Amino acid sequence: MERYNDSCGSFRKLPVTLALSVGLCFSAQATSQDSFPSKDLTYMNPFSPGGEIDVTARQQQPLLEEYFDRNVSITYRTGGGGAVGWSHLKDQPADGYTIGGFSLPHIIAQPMVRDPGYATDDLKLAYIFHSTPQVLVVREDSPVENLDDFIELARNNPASVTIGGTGEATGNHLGAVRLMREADINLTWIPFPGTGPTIPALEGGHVSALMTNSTAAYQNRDKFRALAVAWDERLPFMENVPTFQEQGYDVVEAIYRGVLVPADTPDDVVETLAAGFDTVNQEIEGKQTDMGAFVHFWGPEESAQLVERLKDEYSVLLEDL
Amino acid sequence: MDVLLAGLGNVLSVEALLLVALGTVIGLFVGCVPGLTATMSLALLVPFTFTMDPLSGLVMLGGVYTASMYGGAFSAILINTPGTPGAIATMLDGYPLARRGEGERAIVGATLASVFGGVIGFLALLLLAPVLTIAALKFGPPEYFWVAMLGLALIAALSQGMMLKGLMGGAIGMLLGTIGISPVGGESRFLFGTPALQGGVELIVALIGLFAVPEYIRMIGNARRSITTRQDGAALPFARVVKEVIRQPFNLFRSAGIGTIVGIIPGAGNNVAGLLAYSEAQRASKQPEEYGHGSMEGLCASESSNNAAVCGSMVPLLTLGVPGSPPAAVLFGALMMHGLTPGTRLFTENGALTYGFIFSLGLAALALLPVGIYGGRLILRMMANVPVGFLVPTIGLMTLLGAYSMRNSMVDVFLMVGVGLFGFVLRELGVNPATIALGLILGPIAEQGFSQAMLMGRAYDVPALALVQSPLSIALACMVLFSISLPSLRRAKRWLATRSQGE
Amino acid sequence: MRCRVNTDFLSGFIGLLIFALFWFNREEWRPQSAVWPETILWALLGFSVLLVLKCFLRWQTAEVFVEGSRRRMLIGGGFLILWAVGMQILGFLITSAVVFPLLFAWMVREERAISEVVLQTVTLRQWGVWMAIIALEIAVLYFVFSKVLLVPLPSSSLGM
Repeated sequence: MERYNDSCGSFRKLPVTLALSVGLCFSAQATSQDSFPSKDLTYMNPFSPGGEIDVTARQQQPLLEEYFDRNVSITYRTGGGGAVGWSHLKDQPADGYTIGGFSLPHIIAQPMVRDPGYATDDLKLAYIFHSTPQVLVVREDSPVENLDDFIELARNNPASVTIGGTGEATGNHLGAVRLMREADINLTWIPFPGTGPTIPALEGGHVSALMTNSTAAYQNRDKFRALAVAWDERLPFMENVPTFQEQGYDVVEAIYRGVLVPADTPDDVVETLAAGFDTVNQEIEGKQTDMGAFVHFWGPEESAQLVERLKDEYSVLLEDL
Repeated sequence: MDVLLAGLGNVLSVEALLLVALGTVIGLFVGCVPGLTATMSLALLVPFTFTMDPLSGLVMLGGVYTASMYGGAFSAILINTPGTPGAIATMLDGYPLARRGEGERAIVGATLASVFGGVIGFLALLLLAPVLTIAALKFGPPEYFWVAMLGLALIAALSQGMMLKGLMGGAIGMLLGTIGISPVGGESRFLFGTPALQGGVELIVALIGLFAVPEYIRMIGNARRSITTRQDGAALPFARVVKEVIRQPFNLFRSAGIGTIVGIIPGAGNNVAGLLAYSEAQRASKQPEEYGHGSMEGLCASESSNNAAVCGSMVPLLTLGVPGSPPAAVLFGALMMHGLTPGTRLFTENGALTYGFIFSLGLAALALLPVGIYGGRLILRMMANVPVGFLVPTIGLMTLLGAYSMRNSMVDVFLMVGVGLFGFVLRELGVNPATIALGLILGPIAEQGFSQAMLMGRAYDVPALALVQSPLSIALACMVLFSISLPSLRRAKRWLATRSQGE
Repeated sequence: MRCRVNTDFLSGFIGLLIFALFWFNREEWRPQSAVWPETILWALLGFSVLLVLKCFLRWQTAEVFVEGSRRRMLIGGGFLILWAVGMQILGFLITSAVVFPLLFAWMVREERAISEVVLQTVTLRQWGVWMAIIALEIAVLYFVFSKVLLVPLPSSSLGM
């Protein structure tokens, strides 16, 4: 009959270990109320590696570590267009040590069209660092030369002109919906699982046009002709592309990206985070613009205002869907 | 031309070669542990490459990617669990070989086939990238649908004699694949009250459950390991296996070709390449009944193909700026972070770097040979000699860790255990878990292609016509029909032959 | 004890169970989201019913759970479930530190009971060595996963 090679001495050590751990817990509590951040930060990316948030986060990470003098580790929690990540984040301790990347309109639109496991109000935005305004693009060799041509084509062929982009009730989709409303045309929206697959889809002629992010439009400017930008002014890196508004259609839509924390996080912690991201954002502004993103420096108050405004707009737009 | 030579020169430096070797070792480890994916390991390594120059960083990442695709064969052969989804077909024949004491033959064969596939893929990337890009662009939603159906036809091939059970398994797999958010419509399906399931059933979690858990239970049930080693203890004559592999040129070339082309298709990529090559090899084989019971042909087809797909997925990345697979997406991010924009501009503005990277993929494929032969033998010997009492809990532990680490989610762990125990029962009842796995992989691809094609079809009176508009989609559809009817055609041919003999 | 069952019937029955599980969990979907899962559900129903009917056409039984001891398989499955639940409640380290050695010890005993050629006799001294190796393995994996791979392994949810 074999016996385990255990040492009975470990039992005597138990009370001491217990006392020590209890003591440590109390002291950990004490330190976390000192200046934030007093331990390492977790930067959660609800989207997959290689995307805009990932690239930006990696640009930010070393600078954030320098600013906060703490480690910042990037983790992924993907699925459901970000919903899995945000529904997980809202349950995390509201102490500011777990921050998540986010995109607008996702965090507003998703709870409106289905139950994604979180509510918009469960999340508090700390900072918005960039946006990618929507751009309508067609292939470089397309007979459609400008926005008016495109709208005419759509009017003559209802439901036959296909426009592709990512997902449903996402920035891409809502941009297309706005266009359809403003121009009173009937386009067929073709959702793709990500920005990646949309590029060969347009280039191969499987869709007629894309409503895509400024980053993708800028990176593919050799192959694609941008017809209009859904922003209130022309983008600095795409000066020659007119806006929708210039051409008579009030279509403004962008995907805003930033970081958020659970809603109950104390305001001073949020302010500290925002200050850090602000500093970092100024340093990476050039790299962001090189990617084709439009840089913002919006802190918690401005972000919250944007959310409120968009909530009203989207509840109208999404009724149609 | 001189850009090409410059690239070659860059990569033949000691530093680059060391990085290839390092990447290969890391990739091998990542590949052979189910639950560690190439995507995650690349994502973790990318920050380390910031301190290096772009070429060195890419070289190392390329090595990791190449080796991880190959490393999946190890766990596929030794514990009947694909270390990466691309190794599912390898498992179908590699494991039976290991069970009857021919594990070393399987590993060496897989290594040689992988090297071959990797080299062919590299040559295709180097010489045919523009042509392949044009081909890649021809694949739209209808074509994706048919490619997925072609893979699903493999379910029928795997279920010889138990067609209903195989089809049922495939349906169960496809049903599991619908869990999550619908591709068109964006609505949540079958979440069973768990927000974490919005991401769907993670493929690796299901694979670990379907294959590793039954293996764990089988070893416990027998109180013995499942693989055996040669009784005489002599080392396998390496030359014999080499000859065996070399004697299948058609198989190897065809499989590498399939792998390269399928790898090009963004989204279908590595998971599907091995399956399709395996399926084609079986169809063309003189001994199709061997498949699933230890056919070296099938094993080599799968491995050759999935390593060729590595280079295939680089084609759209480098020429179009579109990643062809999740690991390629990480490389895309890495390029962006180094300030390089993938796309044709990469060849014109950074030619030496681009060609250097391409050459490093070829080197990485070659590096598999020594690492595989020695590392493989080492791992096999370990698996054969470590006490079962230690092996079994280790496997159990790895399944739990692997399932958890995919999405940092205990939901996945419970899902894995549930799917595993359930899959074990079904296997005993005659339902091949590989059919469930196939349904899970291919169902979502087919649905997406189908749904998008239906939307495109709004322009026609019968939307389904969108599925057969382009010559490519018609050709693929015919291949699917042929594939499905082949077993019946064969049986009919045999029946006719016996009838005419009887007269 | 032999276990002869009609595998067609049982597998078809399980298929029907799965069909029911998913069928009654459908929601109000728009056609685009509904068409695919519903088609598959119908196919699953079809295959399962056919399998069940097949047992009336051609009654065949097969031995199941042939390979290995059923008792061991059940206990082995139990260990895995216990390990998973333990990870959730007690955290990775504690659970693994407890379950792994237990499983190891039990497997060694089982193996010795059936093996004629007792290759793996684990002596008392070797126990110490193996326990150390186990502890090392758990520690290394914990380190690699949580520090290198940045996978936060579950810690106790009991608030300890």
